[in-house]
Amino acid sequence: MMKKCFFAVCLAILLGTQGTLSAAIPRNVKLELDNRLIPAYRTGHLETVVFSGAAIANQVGGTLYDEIDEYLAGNNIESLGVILARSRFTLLTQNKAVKPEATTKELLLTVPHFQQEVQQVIDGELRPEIMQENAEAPKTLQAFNDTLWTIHIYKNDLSNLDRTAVMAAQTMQAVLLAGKVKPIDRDKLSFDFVAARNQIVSENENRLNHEMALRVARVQLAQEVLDTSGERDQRLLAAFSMDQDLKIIRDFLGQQRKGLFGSVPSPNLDFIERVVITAKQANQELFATADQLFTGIHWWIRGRYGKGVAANGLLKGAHVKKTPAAGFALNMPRNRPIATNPFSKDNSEYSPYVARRHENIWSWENGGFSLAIGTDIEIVAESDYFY
Amino acid sequence: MSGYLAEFDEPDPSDAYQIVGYQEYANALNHLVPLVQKANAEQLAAYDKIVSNMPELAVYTNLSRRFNFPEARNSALTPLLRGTLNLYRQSSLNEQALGEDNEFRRTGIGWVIALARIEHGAIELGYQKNVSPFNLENLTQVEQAAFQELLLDGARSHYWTMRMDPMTHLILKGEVVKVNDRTALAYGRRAVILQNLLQALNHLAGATLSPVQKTELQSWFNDMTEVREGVSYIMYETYKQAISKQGIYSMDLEGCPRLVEGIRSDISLGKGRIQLEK
Repeated sequence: MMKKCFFAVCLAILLGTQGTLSAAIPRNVKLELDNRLIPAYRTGHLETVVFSGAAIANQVGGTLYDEIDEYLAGNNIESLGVILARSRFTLLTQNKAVKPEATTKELLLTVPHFQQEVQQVIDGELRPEIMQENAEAPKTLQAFNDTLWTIHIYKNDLSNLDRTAVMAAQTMQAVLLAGKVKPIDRDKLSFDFVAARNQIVSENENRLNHEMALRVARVQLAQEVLDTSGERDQRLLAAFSMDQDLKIIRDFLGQQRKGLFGSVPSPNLDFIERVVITAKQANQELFATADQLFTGIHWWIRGRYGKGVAANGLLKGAHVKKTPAAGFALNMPRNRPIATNPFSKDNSEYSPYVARRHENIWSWENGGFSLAIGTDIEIVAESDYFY
Repeated sequence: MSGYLAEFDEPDPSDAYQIVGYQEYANALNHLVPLVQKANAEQLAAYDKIVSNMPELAVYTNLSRRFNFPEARNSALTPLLRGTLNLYRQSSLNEQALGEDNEFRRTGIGWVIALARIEHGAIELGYQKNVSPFNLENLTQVEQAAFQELLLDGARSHYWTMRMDPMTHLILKGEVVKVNDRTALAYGRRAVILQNLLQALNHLAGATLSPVQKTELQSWFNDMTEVREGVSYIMYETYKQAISKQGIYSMDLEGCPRLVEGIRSDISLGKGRIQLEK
């Protein structure tokens, strides 16, 4: 109750500023940024990010958005539209009722972000090289790994953007139907997310077509390696590739049986199963250790390079506490990551973006007193050390 | 006058799951540790080869050398930084480059496991209860040297950052007005993590350290004990101020479990009794 009162007071303060906006960020908006939005973003409280971000977005306008974005950039945080869009989207994907509902002013800030992401797919900017015309097929198991990694990342892109398009379309429709949208704003919100989604679905089928062909080819190469190579590292790669490909091809055919992806040619499952099962029977220990090694490496890479949605990627967000499975989703680098020397002076971006997590995570101020004065009070975390 | 002791909620262990790396490195360790434990030399060599061929698995070390500020002029530094820099340069625990081209780039399955162990262990120490620090009982032969190097480098980084940080000195002075309870608890967590890094290092490599190095490590440990005492003091004072307000009927303290346990223990021992004055 006290929490609601606090929010109400802040909103009242914000509303009280109407008509007094100037190029400089008004003091109360800056207080809202400093005391609520930034700490909430840094500590992973996405509901508060949406609440606070929406309050700001609905209150200010014009060049003030630029001022706010500049202020956020000075705190190493992306623009208001981006963090608001991403936070709302993350909560919506967990089927949560996100309050407050998006307004026209908020959509004018967030839709360009959604639109830009979707447009990248439509323009083919994210399409991996292997899907380009005349792309050369990989020849080694390592090259297959690298290629399939790019396809995997592209799959995540398409899947996320598919959901983005659906949610953006629904949200925009709700706002437009509610009326009260100026004609000029209606134009800005005219991007056809439904048509864009159809293109995303079609592009995903294109991706699957390439992926299945690559996996069948990799199984054949892996069989050759197991038959002819005595090098344990190559044999481990071959065993893990076979296991992975069989599982993914089976899953894909299961989806086809349910009526999905009808336009994608079906791989020959009988052939693949025969090859993999025969190889597995002949190399049981190899398959078991390969699975352990590469699964361990897979998790390690996620721990080292993965980014959550809050605190500049260091946190996954408080929603993980209620839905542990939500904690598995992380933003991974688009290209295969390469660790770089943090002392190099070539101005390249550090990889990974934090050299050691343990040098950063201690500063997450999740502790403190909570006092009960007839009811609960919310204490907002603050830290100058958490980026 | 009536007095009562503080009541504490248990720290929330699910906080750790919000931190990127906690589940991921735990899963990595659960797969890789048993794998290398049962591996023979030929298998280990194959794992090393695979890891070394994956540039994403390289680990850069001796990150703490950044505190040397080789390009900084002494006159451009604050007295605090200048003093700390002098101490840093005299430290017996610094790692020297073996050659100009030494980039401190390390590869191999041992490095992969060691990095996962230190990252996971530090999160666990800061946010979980009943922790076996760094799960040393599962430490494998293949990672031991790498892990020791990462422990020492991590300890150096935390120690020198804290020495150079004005906030640490405010906490040591118990400046309640300038340090809020949450910030104090975060610094206390860092002190706890650093002390555990030092203890693990002493446990694993104590016998190989020189007397001078051991003395320096001990002094770092003692410094962190002082930081923890400063944190406790700030908590007591904040507590007193809060509890003197009218109408408060309960108060909880959350934070690094080991730190909170320490504060709780101090209070129960009468070191920091809180009283409500009426």
